[in-house]
Amino acid sequence: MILKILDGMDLASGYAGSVAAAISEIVKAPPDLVVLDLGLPDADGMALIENIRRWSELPILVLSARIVEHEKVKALDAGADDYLTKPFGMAELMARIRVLLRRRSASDTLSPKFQFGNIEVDLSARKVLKCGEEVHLSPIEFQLLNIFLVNKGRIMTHRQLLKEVWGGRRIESNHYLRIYVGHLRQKLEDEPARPVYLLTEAGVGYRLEIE
Amino acid sequence: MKIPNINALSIRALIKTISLCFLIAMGVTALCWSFGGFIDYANIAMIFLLSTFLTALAFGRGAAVVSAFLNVAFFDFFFVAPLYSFDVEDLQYLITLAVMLIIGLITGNFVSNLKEKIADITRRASMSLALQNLSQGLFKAQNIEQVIATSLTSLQPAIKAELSMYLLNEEEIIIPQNTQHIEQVMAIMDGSVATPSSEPEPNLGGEIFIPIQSDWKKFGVLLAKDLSPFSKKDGREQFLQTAADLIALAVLKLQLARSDEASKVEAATERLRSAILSSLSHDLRTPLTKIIGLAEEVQSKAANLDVNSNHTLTTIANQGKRLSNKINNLLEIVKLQTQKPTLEKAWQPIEEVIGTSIKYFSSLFPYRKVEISIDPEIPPLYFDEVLMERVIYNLLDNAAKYSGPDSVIEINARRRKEFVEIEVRDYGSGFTKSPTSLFKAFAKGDNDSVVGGLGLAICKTIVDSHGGTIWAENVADGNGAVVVVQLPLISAPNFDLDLE
Repeated sequence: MILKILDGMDLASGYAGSVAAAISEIVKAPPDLVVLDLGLPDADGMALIENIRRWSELPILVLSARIVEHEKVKALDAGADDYLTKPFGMAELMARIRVLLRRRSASDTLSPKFQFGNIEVDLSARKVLKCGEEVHLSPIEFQLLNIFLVNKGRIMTHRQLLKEVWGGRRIESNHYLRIYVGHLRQKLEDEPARPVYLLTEAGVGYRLEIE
Repeated sequence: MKIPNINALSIRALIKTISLCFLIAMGVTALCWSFGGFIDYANIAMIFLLSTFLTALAFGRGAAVVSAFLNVAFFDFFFVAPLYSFDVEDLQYLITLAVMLIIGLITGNFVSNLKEKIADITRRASMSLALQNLSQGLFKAQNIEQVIATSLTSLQPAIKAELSMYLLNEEEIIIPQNTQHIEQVMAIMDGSVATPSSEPEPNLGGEIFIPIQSDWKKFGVLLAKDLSPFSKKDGREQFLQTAADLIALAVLKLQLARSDEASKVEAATERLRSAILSSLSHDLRTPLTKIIGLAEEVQSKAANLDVNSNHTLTTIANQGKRLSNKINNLLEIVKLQTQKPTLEKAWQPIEEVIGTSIKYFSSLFPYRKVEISIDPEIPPLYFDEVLMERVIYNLLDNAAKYSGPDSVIEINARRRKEFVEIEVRDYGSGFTKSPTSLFKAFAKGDNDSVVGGLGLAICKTIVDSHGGTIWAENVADGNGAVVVVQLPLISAPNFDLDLE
């Protein structure tokens, strides 16, 4: 069924029913994107991710059952770029694929300016405007926003965010992260309790949706 | 030279020894006499010496001393001039007699010393061998009964005492059960008596109790009962102690092997359960994904669909998602009830999880209105994000089921001193069943929706494992119902935010 969706998006695709077959396919003809179902029979989708990551940055989208959050986190930390929870709608799948493919092609032509809703951000000038009025962000808040914007549309695990912002320190306590995300929401979202852009994905991390 | 104790027993033994040596001396005398003048004095003296030596060899130190004196006396009486008297004519014979006595005493002593040493060494060798056999036997033992059997078999030959052993078996019962010593054994095991190894009375024989224990735990008791009153005790206590230590090690080894076995079985069971859960999870969700995906696909491809068909497809997709939710509930409750829930608690503000729950709810019930009111005074709470999201979602789902599609659902979060209360309120018809029975798994709601009954049971399990409480009540004057989750406020550790 996924193949049909991909057809609908005008994308050529290949299919492999096992990790072993997948690896040989990928090595033979490196694709632009891999969609990996974590429930594959011959064990470890994780091994596939690690394998690919050893020699390529190609985007990997992971499909998984909802109940195992830590599996998703593991996959993301191992190098997967994003995930989808089964069952998912067609629209979601298409959206995620689009985001990942775009990252891949547009990675050298990023603009420092972003606009979503009533927010305007200029990363190089380090200015943030809401409804035309300047919003003051602390250095860490800004850095966090920066990372989200650069990775917009893509899931970032707690661990990844902690690493990007705080380096090696305190990589275990998500509390700091939550507090700062809370601050960002307070300053940028119209309804901080019901965020539209800075979304929480329970048990996994955060995602900035500004499409 | 050891002086034997003088008491009734010794005197009797003394008399026995004297009579024996008397007889020997008489025998030797008779022997030499019968040879008449064919044997020279010197040789007769030698023969007497020889008999002292042999007596020492056969009967020990005491007999050797007595024999030395008696032989000299006999020699003097029967062979030294003047005959049949203790007088000595020639002073030379005095020397002979004196030397004979001295030699007799020395060799006698020496020989019996040697004999004792040899006996000692033999005994020690046999104890060593016994310990060696014990080691080997214990190594092969597979259970407590075998330990007892092999210990007694290996140890008994080396010691002249009646050995018995009592150990705790796998069910922590002392075996063997049939024993007259059971009370003393129990006393030692309880620790109420320190090792009552009684001093062996020379006449009565004694009992030695040796506890078999490792540093912290008593496994049993080794008991040695002396059979013969005069048997030597050299090295016995140490031998028994070493044996007890070896046995303790063997018991410890058996215990470790057992617990190792048990945890292997437990781990295997765990793995099997996880495997079943995840394969079920996968097998149920994949078809659902197809159903939803295909419904949406038809919707997007067929641009000219009439409203009804469009609506039907949306319903198919939505029902697929809700079915998926029910499956989640089912699998979750299986997980929660069969394994201890591994909570991944973290400090986080309650807004986040309420937000994500509402978002998920709205994706399945896009037309329902939800109003939020969160008290800004609420500090961060310590909970598992994923599980709590499920709780709030289930409550929202429940509220949606029992209220009209146009009525509002409210979520309120309030601080109440040491608790935080999160309540979900609907304006529906209220609960008809008693609110407490709602939280039992498979309680039937109004529409007899059995699987719906799981949702609240899961909420209860999760809330309970967070140390909180959950309850439901109808709002007064029949204007709906409310479910309240109460979580305890634990004071957060001081997170210093000085990381700018």
